[in-house]
Amino acid sequence: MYVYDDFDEKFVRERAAQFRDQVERRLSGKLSEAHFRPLRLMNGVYLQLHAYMLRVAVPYGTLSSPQLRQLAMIATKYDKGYGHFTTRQNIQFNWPKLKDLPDILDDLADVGMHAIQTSGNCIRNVTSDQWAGVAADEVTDPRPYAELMRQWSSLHPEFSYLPRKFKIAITGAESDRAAIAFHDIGIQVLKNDAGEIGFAVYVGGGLGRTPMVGKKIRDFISLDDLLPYLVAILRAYNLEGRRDNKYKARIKILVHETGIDGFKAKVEKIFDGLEKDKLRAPAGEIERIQGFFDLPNYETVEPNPETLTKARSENAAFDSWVKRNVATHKQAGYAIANISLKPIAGIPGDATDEQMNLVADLAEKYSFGEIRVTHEQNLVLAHVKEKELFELWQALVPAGLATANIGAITDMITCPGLDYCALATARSIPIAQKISEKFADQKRQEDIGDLKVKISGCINACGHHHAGHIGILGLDKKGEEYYQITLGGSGDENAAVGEILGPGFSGDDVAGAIDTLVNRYVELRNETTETFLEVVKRVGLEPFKEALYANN
Amino acid sequence: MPIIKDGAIIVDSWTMLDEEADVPSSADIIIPLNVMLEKADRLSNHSGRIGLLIGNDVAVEDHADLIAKADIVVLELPAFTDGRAYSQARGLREDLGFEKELRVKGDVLVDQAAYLLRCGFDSFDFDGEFDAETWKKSSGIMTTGYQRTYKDELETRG
Ligand code: HEM
Ligand code: SF4
Repeated sequence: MYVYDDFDEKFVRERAAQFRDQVERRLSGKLSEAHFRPLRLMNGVYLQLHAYMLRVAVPYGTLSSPQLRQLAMIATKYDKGYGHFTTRQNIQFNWPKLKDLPDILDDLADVGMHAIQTSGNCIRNVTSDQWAGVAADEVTDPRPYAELMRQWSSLHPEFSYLPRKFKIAITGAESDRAAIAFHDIGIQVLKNDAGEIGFAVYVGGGLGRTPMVGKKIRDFISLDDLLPYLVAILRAYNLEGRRDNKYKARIKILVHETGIDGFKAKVEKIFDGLEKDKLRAPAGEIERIQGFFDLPNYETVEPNPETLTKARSENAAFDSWVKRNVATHKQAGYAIANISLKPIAGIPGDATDEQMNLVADLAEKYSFGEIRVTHEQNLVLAHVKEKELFELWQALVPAGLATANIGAITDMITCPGLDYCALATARSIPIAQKISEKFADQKRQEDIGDLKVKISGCINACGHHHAGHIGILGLDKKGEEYYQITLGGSGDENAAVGEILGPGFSGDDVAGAIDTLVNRYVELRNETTETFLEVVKRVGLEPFKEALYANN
Repeated sequence: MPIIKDGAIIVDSWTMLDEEADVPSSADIIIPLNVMLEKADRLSNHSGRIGLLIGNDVAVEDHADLIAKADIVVLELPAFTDGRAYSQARGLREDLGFEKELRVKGDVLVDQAAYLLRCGFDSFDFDGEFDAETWKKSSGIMTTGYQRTYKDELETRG
């Protein structure tokens, strides 16, 4: 993985010093809260219901063991012993004190980390496929390009005061695990017939109160022109994006209002006029970065060894875990092991300091000291020998990290909701916990198969509910929390926005309603292989509405 | 409202005229772009220097000829969170090759000075109070940057 050189190190140290100066001026009253607010946001510091919150960047979701241990240390020292992994592959601490924040940033800088642009109206942390580099279906590893964009976007002099936040995601695979269609810019790495790397570029996707699927603006932009092209898109947006209304300020609205053809014309005009040389990556930079993403030194090991088959046949719980949580690796004899942060009835995405330390150790022992954070709020050890999976699992079990539910109904994305968030209209975490309890039975989960449930505590959609096969949106009606259910959303290469089924449900009734929907699905499916989305596509919403509302 | 250049208050000869003001026949004046567009003929024998005040909604590349003749260009920062002038400045400097003085007028925060300089501005026409000490300390903390821009005094990679 990428390791800072002296230049990167100097940059984050200076940035930490700059924020220390800003906090000092705020604490001494030289800086008003109105002026401080955008500055702290640009460094991932939110003011929440109960306290400040710090969001630390995990660029494209990749961490080393020492980095994860440092995050555990921060959770112990400055927080209440836990952190929360987010849908943008970052980690949030819910209880730091303003005066401690500069020290935390120094601690982060010690391990090559920062909180730059994890919030604010600027270019946010670039996200990617959590299986980058090891997925069997990828054209090439997208992370070198993600790292290039991380550097390019950091404290960008032109794009730090955009109309609104700006999120970029990149994937190198056909199956889109990075939800690129729901980003301001989505990028797919391609190879042309000549074997050259280039990028398909999508623009104007997003969730929030006006969910939209991104539209293609370029079929193939060359590697050389990638950064200048991003400059052209961002400049068009910076100049013309709406600043009169916060809710209409995202690029998706500009693209929608001008139409993709009109918007593309603006971008291409700017692109043609750019003095591109200075905007490109410095010579040799891509190669330098790529050097950090060489595959680890895999050993030649036997695929599907007998030790694995034996352990699976003797231990049903392990077998379930392998089925749900282990994915195919491109190297024979290796596997991708997913660690669920969704224990039954737990808080989705939370990890304690002890759990973080354990995963850091296990990564060193079994997976070349590297950990990935997924946008579904789980962790990944990306290079585990199949013959060591059983040992790994045995180490995860006592720490509550062996839940066998990746991609299953209890693997929900859930935003912080009213338990933490100042913008929330309803709680999300307790709803997730109730649903999780309802579907705790492993056999039943396995019978249901892949099913994505996503929950947001308000219309801002941090929990991606629009993209959930089943989406749940918490709202407020005269002081009562109630929950709207949508069906048919999808965040992958067949991106779609879910449709509302009908009147909402009270917090007590949501889990029951989900139960009804799932039972209806099981009745309707032709074979156990017909997925939830396939059934929704085939039969439409009616049978589900009927199941939910027939008795009322 | 102080004018800041190189971290200090300066006094210069520019007079800013608004749209209604009568344009004198001499003196160094800064006039709004649309006044220039209307009165270009009459201004052709103006004896002082002429600068342009360009609004945030103007596409600078549409006025390349006028801009090339201007002795100073002033761009606006109506709120410190409004970043349009940054893009206009880079367009002027890097794409149109404007070399004269570029000034930003409005709600400038010390924490933005470095970004503004990197986008090509030389001077600041400040709404707020100017505190030279804070300015010096806070605006100079970052000595590194990942982007290469028009007037980059920062250390970059490569
Ligand atoms: C707890 C404090 C949080 C606050 C105040 C907050 C605020 C917001 C707001 C206002 C939006 C809507 C922005 C827009 O559409 O322009 C948004 C969107 C979003 N947030 Fe959060 N959020 C918080 C936490 C989180 C967490 C914990 C996650 C990840 C689990 C997250 C991930 C996202 C994502 C993915 C989007 C929407 C997608 C998009 O960009 O269109 N947020 N957030
Ligand atoms: S969706 Fe709403 S409630 Fe949930 S974290 Fe985002 S802003 Fe807060």
